[in-house]
Amino acid sequence: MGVNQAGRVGNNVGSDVYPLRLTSHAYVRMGVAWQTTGKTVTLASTQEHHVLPSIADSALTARLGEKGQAGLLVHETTLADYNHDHHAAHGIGHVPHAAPLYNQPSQFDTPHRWAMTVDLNKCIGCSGCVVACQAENNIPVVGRDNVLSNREMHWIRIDRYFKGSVDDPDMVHVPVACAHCENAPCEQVCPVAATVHDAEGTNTMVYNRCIGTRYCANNCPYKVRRFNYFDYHATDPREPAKPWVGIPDEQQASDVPTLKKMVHNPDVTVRMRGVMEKCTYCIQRIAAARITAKNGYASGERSTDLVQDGELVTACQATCPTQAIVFGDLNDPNSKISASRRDDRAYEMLAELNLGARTTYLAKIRNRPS
Amino acid sequence: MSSISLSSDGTPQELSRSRQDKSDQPSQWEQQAYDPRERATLVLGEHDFTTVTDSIAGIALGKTPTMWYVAMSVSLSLLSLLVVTIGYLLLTGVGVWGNNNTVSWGFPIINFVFWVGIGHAGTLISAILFLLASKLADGYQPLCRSDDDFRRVLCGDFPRLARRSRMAGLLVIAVPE
Repeated sequence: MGVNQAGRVGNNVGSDVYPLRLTSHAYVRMGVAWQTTGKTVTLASTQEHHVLPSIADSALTARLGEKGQAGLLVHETTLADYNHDHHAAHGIGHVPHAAPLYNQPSQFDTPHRWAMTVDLNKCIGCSGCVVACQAENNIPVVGRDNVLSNREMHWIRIDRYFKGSVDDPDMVHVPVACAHCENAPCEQVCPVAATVHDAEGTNTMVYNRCIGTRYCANNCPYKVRRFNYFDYHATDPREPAKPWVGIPDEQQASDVPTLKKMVHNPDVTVRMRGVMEKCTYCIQRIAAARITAKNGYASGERSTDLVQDGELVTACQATCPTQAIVFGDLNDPNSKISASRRDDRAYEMLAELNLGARTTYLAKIRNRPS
Repeated sequence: MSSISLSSDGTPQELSRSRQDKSDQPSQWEQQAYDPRERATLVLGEHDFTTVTDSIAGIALGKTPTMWYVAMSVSLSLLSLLVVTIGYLLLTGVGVWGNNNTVSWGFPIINFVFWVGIGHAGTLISAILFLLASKLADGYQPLCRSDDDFRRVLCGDFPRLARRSRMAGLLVIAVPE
């Protein structure tokens, strides 16, 4: 594939092989010989980012001690085992929880208690949620060089876990975004309280407070926080970062190209250089649903001012082709999210850290002979 | 012989007696090889006030050696390189240090720990030498201590510069909006 005339983004992407396709050889061209050019091109791919090295295993063992048992990152089992024991996917025994030093100051459940589940059985790893999140939340395109430097800004990443032989491994896709931990490690280290919990349990970023110490990203056990190292919104992704001398808060207005401004979601802050960002549970959609509910209640069109189940979908949830992502209010016992949380397959990633994550997962069941 | 001798009436002998006072028993101080009451010679050699003044004032008042200009220009060029690179860092972003989304602190924390480690180690060694009354570093101690202080100031630069670029170090101080 190769593109020569596709505008700024598409020009000169890939290699053009159309000169090989003549009218005389429209579909099949015989007698073509390959010749190596000797050139090497590094492929900019995010697939190998966030790979867990073997040193992580030894660090985990050292942290948990001899008796400690790490929670499995991926819970999966076969259908036969699941039918025999509905908790087979979770392994033997319970993940030990260390006793908390203090009680949570709040249950973060007023008036809603937002949570999300991701069904690993349904996830096919298509990355649709990643793109939907990028479009919804004004996530900048960083360009090839910065992807090579591991600086992609996507709020969701698709982890891959392999099992079995190298030739034909079993693979599990795990979409990981901010889990909105009730006991959030990121909030405990922020020196300026730029990341705090709201009453409904979302771990919110106050962009104007952030001074970019990146302490939270270092303390995040899921590694889902993204730092805007350069002015990705203001620069062409294919060009190196350029210096900015003016006042940063005016940069969105003066330095983002007009056409690009029209691409942005007007409900979401355009973050510029030096600000940490991460999944917000689509807080703008939550706010919009809340406003609609309150206005409807005030005008007598509805009986409650609370957001009802199904009135609110996140961008990733809306786009997921297999509906693997469920988002909703845990305060409503009849909501889809509450049912999903009660499922036998439900588990919390990194449960041994006492995080109280609001985003949980449903174990994968393989339909094959064990 | 006992190191503390008592007089006939049981009171300790005066320690401040002059060395010319030859009593029958030498005091504990006189038994030591090094008498702290006798000040060591501060200035060795054939020096009087004039020659000492000349040699010290000559550094400032005399003709500056050519090598001084050479060494100073090298130092200043390195310092200007520091100013240029910090300016580039502040205007372009912390990413010029090569940090990314899993290695958020690589370059700055390595340099911070390096300089703070050297600064603290220097202070500790200096303190140990002082406590042991070692004469090893006597002349160099003020220099070493001020050098350690500079290192600690330098190490503070890295967390300051590693912040969001717009106000850099100023953001360490709480500023009302």
